[in-house]
Amino acid sequence: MQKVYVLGGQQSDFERNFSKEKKGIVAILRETFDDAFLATGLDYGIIGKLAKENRVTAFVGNFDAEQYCGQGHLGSFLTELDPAFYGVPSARYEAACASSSVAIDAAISKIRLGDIDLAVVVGVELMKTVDSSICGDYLGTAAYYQKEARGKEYPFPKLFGKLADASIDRYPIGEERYMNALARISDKNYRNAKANPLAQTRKWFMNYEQASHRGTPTNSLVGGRLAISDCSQVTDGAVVLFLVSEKFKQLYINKEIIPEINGGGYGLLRSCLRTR
Amino acid sequence: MKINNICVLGANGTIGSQIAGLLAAFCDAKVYLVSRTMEKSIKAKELAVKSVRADAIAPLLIPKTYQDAEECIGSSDWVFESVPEDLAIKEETHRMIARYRKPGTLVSTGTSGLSIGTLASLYDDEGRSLFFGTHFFNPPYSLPFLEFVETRWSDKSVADGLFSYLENTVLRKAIHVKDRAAFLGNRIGFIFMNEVAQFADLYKDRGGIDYMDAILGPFTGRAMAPLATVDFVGIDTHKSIMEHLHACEPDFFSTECIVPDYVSRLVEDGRVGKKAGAGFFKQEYDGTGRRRSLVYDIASDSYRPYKAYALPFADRMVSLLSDGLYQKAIDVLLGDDSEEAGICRYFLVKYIICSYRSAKEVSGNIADADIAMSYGFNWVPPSSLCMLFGRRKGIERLMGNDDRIRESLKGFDMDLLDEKPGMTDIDYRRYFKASR
Repeated sequence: MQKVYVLGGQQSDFERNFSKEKKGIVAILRETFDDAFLATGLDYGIIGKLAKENRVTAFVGNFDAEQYCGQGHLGSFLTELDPAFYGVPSARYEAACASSSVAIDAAISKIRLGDIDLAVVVGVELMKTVDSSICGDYLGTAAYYQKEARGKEYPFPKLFGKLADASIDRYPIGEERYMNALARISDKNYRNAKANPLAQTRKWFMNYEQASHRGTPTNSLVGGRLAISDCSQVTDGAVVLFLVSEKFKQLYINKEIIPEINGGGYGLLRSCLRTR
Repeated sequence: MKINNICVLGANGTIGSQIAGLLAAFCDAKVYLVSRTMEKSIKAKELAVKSVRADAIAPLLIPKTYQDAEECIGSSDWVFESVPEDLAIKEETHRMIARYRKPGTLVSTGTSGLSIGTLASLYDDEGRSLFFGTHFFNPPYSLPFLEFVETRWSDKSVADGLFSYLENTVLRKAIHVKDRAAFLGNRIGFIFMNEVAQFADLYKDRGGIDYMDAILGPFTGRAMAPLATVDFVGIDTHKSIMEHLHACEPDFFSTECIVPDYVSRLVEDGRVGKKAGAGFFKQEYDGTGRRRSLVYDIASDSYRPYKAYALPFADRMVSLLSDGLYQKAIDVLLGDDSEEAGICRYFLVKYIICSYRSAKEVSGNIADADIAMSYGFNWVPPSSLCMLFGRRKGIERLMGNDDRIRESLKGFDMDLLDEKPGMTDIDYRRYFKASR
């Protein structure tokens, strides 16, 4: 088993709305690659060189570009950025919100097996392409759409609302404490965002009082007892991450200390929520 | 710095109510909304809540009238004045604040260009030392830019504390500017837009207003085309900013600051833009109830439908921008020999020159022009545009082929073009829209 190292990468500015800017998947990928190269010192030249040696593979995580952007086959889209990707094995990985995580998982396996020295892992979503109602419907396809989402407005928050109901029923903490805890989490998350220059909500106002004021015009209920402040909101964003082998590390990286991946994994629950 | 009570005078105005909401939210302070009538103040409170999308701040917002001014001002740590941009009204308001404020109370004005020193002089020594200009941009929740103005009487440590508070607590992208007409952001933006309005007159036989907006649309690094922006802001506001700047500093871009006659005529007719239902543009409903957009045709003094101008260079730029190829899009502009591309280049070079000159004079730092134009106007930072144009060498190349550009650079310190501003966190790419 080969060691796997995290060389680094970059995320896009999650505050941006690429749809409003009238830009598509190629633009967000190109920009994020440019930024990731800047952050790591890699470039298309190294990818092209390793491509000739069959030592690089790309893994593209994405949930539902077919619906949101009318575009499938995202693995091949990297060739639109630069000829360095010609001939590079590249495929799209989909596992709803965990899409990019399974892309990373696949990349780790390839390096561990010694098949490649550089894994280019990409996560990309353009979700501001449609209004919130249509977006909610598309998100519903991550659930058991036919049985639990079709024809429902904002199906995903509603499913989470059911999860909240079940949690309150199952654990003896009381509804008030549970809901207050959710408001505290929301307040904390928004405060953390203010310290992140690439966070979607870094300029938004939120505090515990606002998060506790559910069912108001500025914090409407969207899923049973859950309000907007209890949900993460969709945006447009991309991430590029480079994972490398021991050989790559020795050849191309001057840094002494570089994070190593020692483990990881994931597992499934039943899709249908009411049968869990 | 901790501010517990704030008094906003002129809270019924669009900007006043929104700033009241912003301050209640981010300062977690009690905010008095003072207007002429209680009805207006209650309405202002609704607007304030709506502007930051937070019902939770409602208990912090206290509607009041000028009858309660003594109590509100006297019990506030910070008094923010947001009354109309009329020196007489402002002076009257500040005399009142000076009468009622307790020692130690901060006072600031939201004026977009009147003299801060003149207003500060209405206070006693202690009051002057705590008086500042805090120019917010509209709408303040989504445009975080703020110009901060000190006077010769300002208490430096209080000024530093308030500036830091505005940056870190009110989440403003704040810059220091001198007490000069129109400060920095409006100076750059409105000079640019006024010259576009002049060119619309010059090219009125080709279409005028929509012709110029087509040449300088969102693909040139802005959210909205220039004359559409003037119409949105108010043509009367534009005219008064330009006339005030020209009167105060007649030598600063003197030709570019002259308001065209047709603009003055529209203002006289009350056609001051979107807020009046007519201006450079207007909406009309036909017999079937269908809405159509019309543009003011300077040549015929009437409104007509928009024209679809064929601008191949713009189409090529838009196509490249949609794929994130920013430098290539600018290279298309630089290499295109159409007259419209030439006009576009001229204006973008003028934007760089005016920004650099203004920044040097008004704030002393080119990076401040980047902050002003991106966070205050949603326009591409001028230093990023300068970089995409190839800095001094690139612009000198353009001078060789274009008399207008050569003329506009006379007396300009070309070394500035190679100056790299201090680091800002501004990503220029978001300002280029892939649309005409």
